[in-house]
Amino acid sequence: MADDVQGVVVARNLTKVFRDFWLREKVTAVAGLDLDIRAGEVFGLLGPNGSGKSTTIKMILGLLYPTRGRVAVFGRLPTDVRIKADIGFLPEESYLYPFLDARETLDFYGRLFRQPRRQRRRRVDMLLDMVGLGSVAYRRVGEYSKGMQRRIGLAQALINDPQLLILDEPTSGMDPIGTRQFKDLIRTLAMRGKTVILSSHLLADVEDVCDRICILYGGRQRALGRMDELLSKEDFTQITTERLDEPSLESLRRVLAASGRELLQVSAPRDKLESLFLRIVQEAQEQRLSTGGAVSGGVIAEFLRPDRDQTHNVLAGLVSVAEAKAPTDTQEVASSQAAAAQRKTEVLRDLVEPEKTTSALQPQGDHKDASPTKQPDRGLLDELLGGPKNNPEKS
Amino acid sequence: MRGIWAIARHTLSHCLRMKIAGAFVLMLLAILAVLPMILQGDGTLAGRIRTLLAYGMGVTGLLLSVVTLLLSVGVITSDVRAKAIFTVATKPLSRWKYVIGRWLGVVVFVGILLVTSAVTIYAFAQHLRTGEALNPSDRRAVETEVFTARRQVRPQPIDIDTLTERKRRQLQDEGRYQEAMKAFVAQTGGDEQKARSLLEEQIRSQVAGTAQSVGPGGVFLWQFNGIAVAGNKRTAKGQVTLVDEETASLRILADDELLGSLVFGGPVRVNGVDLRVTRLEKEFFEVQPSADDRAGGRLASLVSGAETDIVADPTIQLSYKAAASVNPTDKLLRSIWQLDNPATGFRYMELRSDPVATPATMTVSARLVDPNGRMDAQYVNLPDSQGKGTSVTILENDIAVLFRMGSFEGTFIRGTVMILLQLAFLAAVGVAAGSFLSFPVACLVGLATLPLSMAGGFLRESLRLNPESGPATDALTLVGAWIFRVVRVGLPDFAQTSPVDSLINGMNISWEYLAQAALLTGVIRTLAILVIACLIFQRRELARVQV
Ligand SMILES: Nc1ncnc2c1ncn2[C@@H]1O[C@H](COP(=O)(O)OP(=O)(O)OP(=O)(O)O)[C@@H](O)[C@H]1O
Ligand SMILES: [Mg+2]
Repeated sequence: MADDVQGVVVARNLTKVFRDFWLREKVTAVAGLDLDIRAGEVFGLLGPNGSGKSTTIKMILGLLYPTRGRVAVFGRLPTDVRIKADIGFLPEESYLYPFLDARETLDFYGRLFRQPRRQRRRRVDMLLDMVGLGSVAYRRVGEYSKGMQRRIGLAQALINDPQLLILDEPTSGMDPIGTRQFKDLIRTLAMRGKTVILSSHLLADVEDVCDRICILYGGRQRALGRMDELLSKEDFTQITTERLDEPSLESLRRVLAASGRELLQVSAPRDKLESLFLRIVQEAQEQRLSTGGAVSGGVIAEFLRPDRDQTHNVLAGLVSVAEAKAPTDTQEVASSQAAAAQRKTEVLRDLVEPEKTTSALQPQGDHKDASPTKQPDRGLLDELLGGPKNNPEKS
Repeated sequence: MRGIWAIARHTLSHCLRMKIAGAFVLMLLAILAVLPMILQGDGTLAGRIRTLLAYGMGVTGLLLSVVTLLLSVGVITSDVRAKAIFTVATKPLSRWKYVIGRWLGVVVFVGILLVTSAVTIYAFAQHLRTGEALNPSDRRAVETEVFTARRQVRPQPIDIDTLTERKRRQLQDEGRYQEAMKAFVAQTGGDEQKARSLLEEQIRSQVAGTAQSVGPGGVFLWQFNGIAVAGNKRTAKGQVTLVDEETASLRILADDELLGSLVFGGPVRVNGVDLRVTRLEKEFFEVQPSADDRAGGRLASLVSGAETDIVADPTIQLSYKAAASVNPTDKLLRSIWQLDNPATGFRYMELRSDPVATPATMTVSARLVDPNGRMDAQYVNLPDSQGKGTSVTILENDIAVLFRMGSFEGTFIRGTVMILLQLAFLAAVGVAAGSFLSFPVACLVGLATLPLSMAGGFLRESLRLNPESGPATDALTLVGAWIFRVVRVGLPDFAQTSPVDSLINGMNISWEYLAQAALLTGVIRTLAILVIACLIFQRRELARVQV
């Protein structure tokens, strides 16, 4: 595979077919996947349940062998022991030894890297602090909650300061603060030139940290590219500003109408990753592409539907507890659930928000955050609106 | 190596935290607690200690075998099942090191349990040793037949071929051979060849039978070779404290060291006269010189308070078991033993009466063995006063000369090592099965090896294809023979290499024997199975789901 050494992970026509005991083909988990993951990038693997993300990752790690095609990691076969020293891996669930406590767990994995005792101890302490488990390190990890196990799993993946970090749904089960810190961590690692491959269903997370993504459906690659390329809407222009009152807007319109000047801020408005994802999966489903994984059912099972008055009343009663405005439409319980979900998101954001200001790890390069782009925008707007005198608050 | 050790340590702590150790130790203590109640045996102290050793080591070996199999099967299958293997297999650790590490961890763990158990049993045995013996011979048995390490040599085998030849010629001369042939030919329906072989067989078994039994007044002759005498003679001064005219015995005071090397019923030289110890106590021993020796011989001058020269020679033991064709009324067989040193002509004779079909041991001076390790023995079956009696049978396998070859402790340690090697083999089997099978299936395979390797010898006997039935033709026999061959190559014979028999009989387990029996049969197979396990695991797709 000497021709493939340029990428950290290179896959060509990677295919995995699971057969049953009688060697009959049962499911094609990954089909003809080509990947070139370069050093220093954060690469996201997306796709609905059963689309082959974990299978791809396992083939990259040598836990499964490709049926066809090949994959090279650091230019070597995935089963080669020599490359493992530079790899950190967090599986889809934290498969840990329940009889060890957190410290012993990390110490054990450190030993497997033949780390000297001193270094091991230092790293274990630092990692425990980082994932916030320093005070419960003496407890057996079998007793940990899912999120705590996730955190120790993450720490385990980092004990060798890996060049290549492979994370399968890293944030599943983690609380919002943990998720936030996790994203900061990924960005820090990326800044240090580490390569990260992650799969996730939390599109917001992926959108925040990934440089490039690959969307799989039925084991096939449906989209691959840089995040900004995939999400940019080239037909539109976006201007970001502080809130404008009516007069200011009026003058803005006038200025644009006059249009003596060129564009003020050239930025493609970003599609939400969510809509891109949904669009791709929907397209795939409309084309009736085969998948061994889940197809979006979406139709609520009939016995769960509020087709009788009684059912409706019970459900409505339940919903109105959580919501001031109970839905009036009998058929729209689903939408009320959506609304509840929305409220939840807001509550979550409130939870996260105070943390944002206190967090020491306040990200500098957050693509989504508006604050770094505020300064140039202000200047442009000033110019646009005829200087600070026309400040909306004053007029 | 560090990788292997990291895995082994991990396995060890897993095993320890599974509380198997606790359960095992509790069970062991419970067993040892009830042992004294069961330990009556034949009522002798030696018997109780033997039962303890046999039962304790046997139960330990069996329990630990099962523990070893379950653990070794479990260590890898549970990793695969719980998918913890994902994070381990993606670390810079060769998979074969993982397999070896798991195996090593289990072996170390069961090794710890085994040593705990062995130390407990040893301490318990030593505790029993300090107890009251039933009688002086019981005490002698405890000291010279249990807490010792001996080797045995069997007599020169009887030359059956020559004897058969001689017998046949005698029958032919008397014309009885031809008569018998006629009868056999008639029996086999005219097949002369078959008749001849049947007749030969019968003569042979008759000859073998008569060679191993003698009628009243008859004599057995045996020749022993290869007796190695260990130890030096001890000389010391003793003081006569009592001359008992009635029993014609002398009581002689001697130091601890000399007394320690004397054996009840064994030899001692007093002023150059060969005598037998008739009583042995903490401070003195007693002998019964013959009337001749006391009247005019070298012991005539011995009076109370006189000083004597005492020599304690190294000893050997002759052990035998005599059976009778008709049980005498008192169940005792009277005999005269005569032992000779073929080189020096030194002779020892003893009049004995032994219980029928009971193992008996004579302790005699090693001066009876010539420098080449040879000794001749003769047994006269004494008729009773009317000149009648019973014929006595002593089989070739029921007579042996035993001599010390090491310490009980050494044998105990080597015996424990042998059990450990068995456990290491079982652990390898378990790990190999677990390297590609699921837990229940691997358990089945692993546990199946246990009876097979325990009863290997028995299987060997019962499955031995009868040579007279000709080559096996039916498929079932062929398959059976083939499977058996695989089993025989793959599994060591634990029954044959079990140290328990040696331990309870005070037989030495030498390092050479350990190396031969254990290394060749056990270690090589263990390594072979481990190699297979590593190869399988190396190729295995670890993320494949197993149900
Ligand atoms: N060991 C296996 N044996 C058989 N089929 C498997 C195995 N592992 C995965 N599959 C199948 O392969 C397909 C892809 O599975 P995979 O775990 O890669 O999906 P995924 O994208 O990680 O899904 P999720 O988002 O639910 O984690 C699925 O149809 C799954 O049933
Ligand atoms: Mg997955």
